[in-house]
Amino acid sequence: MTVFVSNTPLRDAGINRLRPRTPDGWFLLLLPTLAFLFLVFLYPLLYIVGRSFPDYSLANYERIFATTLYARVIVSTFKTALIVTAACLLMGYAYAYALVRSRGVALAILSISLLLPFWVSVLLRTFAWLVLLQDTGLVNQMLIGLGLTDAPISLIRNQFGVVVGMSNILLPYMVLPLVAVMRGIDPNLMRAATISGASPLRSFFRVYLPLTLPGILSGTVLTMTLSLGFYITPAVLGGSGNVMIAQLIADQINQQVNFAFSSALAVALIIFSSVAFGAFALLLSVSKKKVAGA
Amino acid sequence: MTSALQLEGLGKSFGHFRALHDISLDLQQGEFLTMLGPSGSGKTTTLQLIAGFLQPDRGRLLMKGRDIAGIPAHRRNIGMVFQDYALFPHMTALDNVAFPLESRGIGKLERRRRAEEMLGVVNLGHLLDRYPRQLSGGQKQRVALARALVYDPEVVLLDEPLGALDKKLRTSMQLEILRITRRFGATVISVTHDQEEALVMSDRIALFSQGALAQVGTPKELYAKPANAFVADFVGESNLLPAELTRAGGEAVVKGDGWLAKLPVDRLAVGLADGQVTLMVRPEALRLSAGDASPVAQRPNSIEATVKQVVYLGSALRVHAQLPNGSIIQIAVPDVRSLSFVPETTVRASWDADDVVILQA
Repeated sequence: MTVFVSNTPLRDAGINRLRPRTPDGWFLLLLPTLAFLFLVFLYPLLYIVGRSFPDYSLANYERIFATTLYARVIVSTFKTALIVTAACLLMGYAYAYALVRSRGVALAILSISLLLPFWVSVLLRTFAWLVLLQDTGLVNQMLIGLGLTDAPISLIRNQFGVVVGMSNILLPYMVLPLVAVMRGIDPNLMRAATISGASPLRSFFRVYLPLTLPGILSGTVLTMTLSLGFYITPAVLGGSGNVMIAQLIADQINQQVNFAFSSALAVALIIFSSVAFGAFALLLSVSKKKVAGA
Repeated sequence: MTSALQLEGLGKSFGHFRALHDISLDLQQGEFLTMLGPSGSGKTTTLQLIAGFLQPDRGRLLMKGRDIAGIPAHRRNIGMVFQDYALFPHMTALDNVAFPLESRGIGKLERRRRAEEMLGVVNLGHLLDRYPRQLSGGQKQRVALARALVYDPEVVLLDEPLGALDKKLRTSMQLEILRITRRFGATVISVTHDQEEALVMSDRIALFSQGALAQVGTPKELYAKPANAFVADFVGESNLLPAELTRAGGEAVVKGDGWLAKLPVDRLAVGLADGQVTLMVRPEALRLSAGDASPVAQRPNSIEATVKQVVYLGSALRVHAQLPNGSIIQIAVPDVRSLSFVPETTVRASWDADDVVILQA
């Protein structure tokens, strides 16, 4: 026993000499970033949590759950975010695939189409949709002109308008993680599936899709997180029936000047999102195992 | 013998680049054919045409006499081992091998049984549940081979199967691949740029050069009777000496710069005309002796040279010697103890008339 004990440190020392040792001083280089994050992110967050419990009372949270309006808004926020995320996933997966497979001019066009709107302000793009989708807008004029409808169809002031506007803005956040993952997939894997006798459909569902799950996961989480906090687009394109929680929070600050209650709403949003993402991650890891083990 | 696969005048262009022209090959059932050639010579393109990943512009592709032009890759019943193995990273070794069976609608129990059996054949019966990232290069190679053979394909394609392995493992895997594919009586087409691998493994070699077939034959034929200087140079090592051919009665006289070779006319290839030719002689066909400065006419089938370098290879010596015209020839000396050939000494390298090949210049 003593032999082992005396041997171990010697061997460890030998291994450590081979490996470049990380001097503890390097850690200091992280300090500015950590300080910045603490000051502008962690501290305000904790402050908001504190503000939501005035005099250590749960009154604000009771109000959220007791008032059907708030519950309805939270449900509607999640519903809108889910629809937007699903729309982005469906469109974004195909788009990312096309982008990864294309070369030359096609690649340039697809990349620019994706990234150019990214550089235009969200506000501007939201108003552009307003112009396009309003009753006298381009889309309705075209539908009427084609004789598809007599009266203009309501495309804004409802969930449709919100989903269109938000999907447009959030699409890159879904496409970019998917492109990153798809680029890493060895094209020979699909050939291997094909030559093994798998139809294109089977190759996709058994090989390609499981390998892109990490991209789907990060894209979905990113899009979902951003959708849950959306403010401008639902405010401009939505109606009274589909108010989102960010609008309520803004309203509590701007109109009611109730910092405590708006803080409670914000904390509730964080908690609900965390629960939703936890459940989502669990679901995905289970389905991943299932796909791999079939 | 039925032919398992026939290539009839296959051609393929990419834009203005003619990647392949007029490739015709006839592959027998159970044959191991290697497509050999430098990179960009068209061997991989040919493999992809057979697999169905590319469509030929010209020519026909017949499997057991049936044209497979319109049959998509996944219905061709061809097996393939990829250069980087292309194992599915999210599946275990067992699931990788069972995948082709799954694609063929074989039940879960049956495909598990067959995949297990196949992994046993490649000596991986103990690593069924490992994921590819947990396997070594050689083990991945075996899984890839098992996946390509488990469904009893008409033809198995190997794309540079040993390219990613180190030299020692490569040698043992060469014999292992032969053992396994022979056991199943599989018809195999292997692609490689490693001529040694081609010599060891193949029943026949198809040597590619610039999108066309330079020569098709057994390893022995390619080595001993190369059709042209490219084949002589690519397969094995060779000394190529420019010379002039004249026929005198039953004797062919090949005259070079400071040397003379004589051989029976019937050793010349059919259609070889008098005039400029190239004499090919392998390093191991040359014997070294001390230089004697005798006149060329008195000592046919030999050449005088100056030793420049002696390379010790462990099992043999390799002597690099310079001819009077400046070019270098190589001589293999099997006896490593013959250390008398020191640099700058004059030596005489001689050959038997049977061991040289006269090629079109």
